[in-house]
Amino acid sequence: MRDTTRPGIFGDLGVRLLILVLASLLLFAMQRSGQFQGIRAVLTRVVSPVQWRMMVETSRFADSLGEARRNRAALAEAGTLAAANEILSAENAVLREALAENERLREQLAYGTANPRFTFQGAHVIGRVLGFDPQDAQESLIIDAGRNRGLAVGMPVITPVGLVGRVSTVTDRTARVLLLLDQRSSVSALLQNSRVSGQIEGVAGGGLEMVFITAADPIIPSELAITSRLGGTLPQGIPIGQVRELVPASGTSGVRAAIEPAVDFRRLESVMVLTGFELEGNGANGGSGDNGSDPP
Amino acid sequence: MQPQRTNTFLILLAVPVLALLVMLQATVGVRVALFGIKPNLVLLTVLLWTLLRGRREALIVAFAGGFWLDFLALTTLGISSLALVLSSFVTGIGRRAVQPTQVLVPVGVGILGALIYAAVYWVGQAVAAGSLRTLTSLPDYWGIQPLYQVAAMLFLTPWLYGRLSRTPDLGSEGGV
Repeated sequence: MRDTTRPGIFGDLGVRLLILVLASLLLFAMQRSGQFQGIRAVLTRVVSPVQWRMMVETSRFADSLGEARRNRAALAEAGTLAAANEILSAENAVLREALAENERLREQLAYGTANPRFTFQGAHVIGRVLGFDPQDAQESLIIDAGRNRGLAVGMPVITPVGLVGRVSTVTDRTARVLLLLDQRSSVSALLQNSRVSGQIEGVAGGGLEMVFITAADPIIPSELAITSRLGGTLPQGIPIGQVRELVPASGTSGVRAAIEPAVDFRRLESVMVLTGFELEGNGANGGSGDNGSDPP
Repeated sequence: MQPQRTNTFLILLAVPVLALLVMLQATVGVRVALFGIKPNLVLLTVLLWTLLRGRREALIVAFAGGFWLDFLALTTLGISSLALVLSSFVTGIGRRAVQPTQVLVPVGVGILGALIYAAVYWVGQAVAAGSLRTLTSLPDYWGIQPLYQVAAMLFLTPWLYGRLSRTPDLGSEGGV
């Protein structure tokens, strides 16, 4: 390999410095006297295209860097906005929830105002036991009110829309509500227009049926089934559902009426427990239940 | 002690590279100006050359770089060459006065080189203009001109430290 290092052409450092300083001053003098104009013009003609091309390319490169920086800034801003959006969405969800709860409470309050014969305790659904026991096919809810709020077994549980079920178990702070849908549930009912009485029971599969009715009864399709005071355990007039269709009862001459529940049991969030009510007609008070309870 | 040999090939290669650096400085440098001061890539190159390869080569590089600076900037020829040559020479003395492996050497060289370059350059401009009025702003210029060089030197210090550790002796450089 060729040795590219060899002694410098200027000798020692002092001489080299002196020569370069003199050369600089010479350039300076030539420039001042105008003697360098010709050489400068030639060099400029050679270098200018390169310089222009370099200016264009570096400007383009710098612009692309600036564009990338702006894109990064936009992405960062988008990320910040997305995070803020998530926070606002969460806050919005909380506010919507509060609004919904407010509306439910207003409905309950309005219901209480419209039904002064009832005293009730509001409660939130905190759990749902659906098919808890396969043999019983029990459908029930757990609510966050118990003996501490005056609840007792047998008390009707309603919403402003209609009957939900009855309290089946009470603890100090919670209670279990046996839904109308449960096969063990049976309540006295009255068809509002035809005034036909019967029993509404839960059936397998989650429906309701009205029994103890006959084909001769003048039942009107879609008429409203309400609670009846017969039996003295429920106040009269709480909606249960609408007659959907009449179905012949197997082995008997009677019929059954399929009832479409008034309450959407899948969307229950809060309910009202009737802790006291006045049985119309005889002035008796009901709903006290037996106060018996068992652990959930 | 043998004087450090001059790598002529390397110096010849540096001449067009310095021209490109000047053009880069004139185009990109505007976009990265700090307090109105553009990075002086040629000065930085000269100072690094002085540190790493000694003044014998650095003086020639300084002259060539100064020529390109003045030529492409359409300023009076010779001023930048003189400023860079003197800057390289003086900082080379300072570099020999301390242990090359000291961490602050690159930063000190950056400050000293920038100040000397600025002083000579502004005096040269004043002489070229036939007026000393431009010198009134020199103190302000001195205050901020070294910023870029110091920042660059700080950035390069880890690398420079390693290089200087491996080349602690640059020879007698002709005894100056």
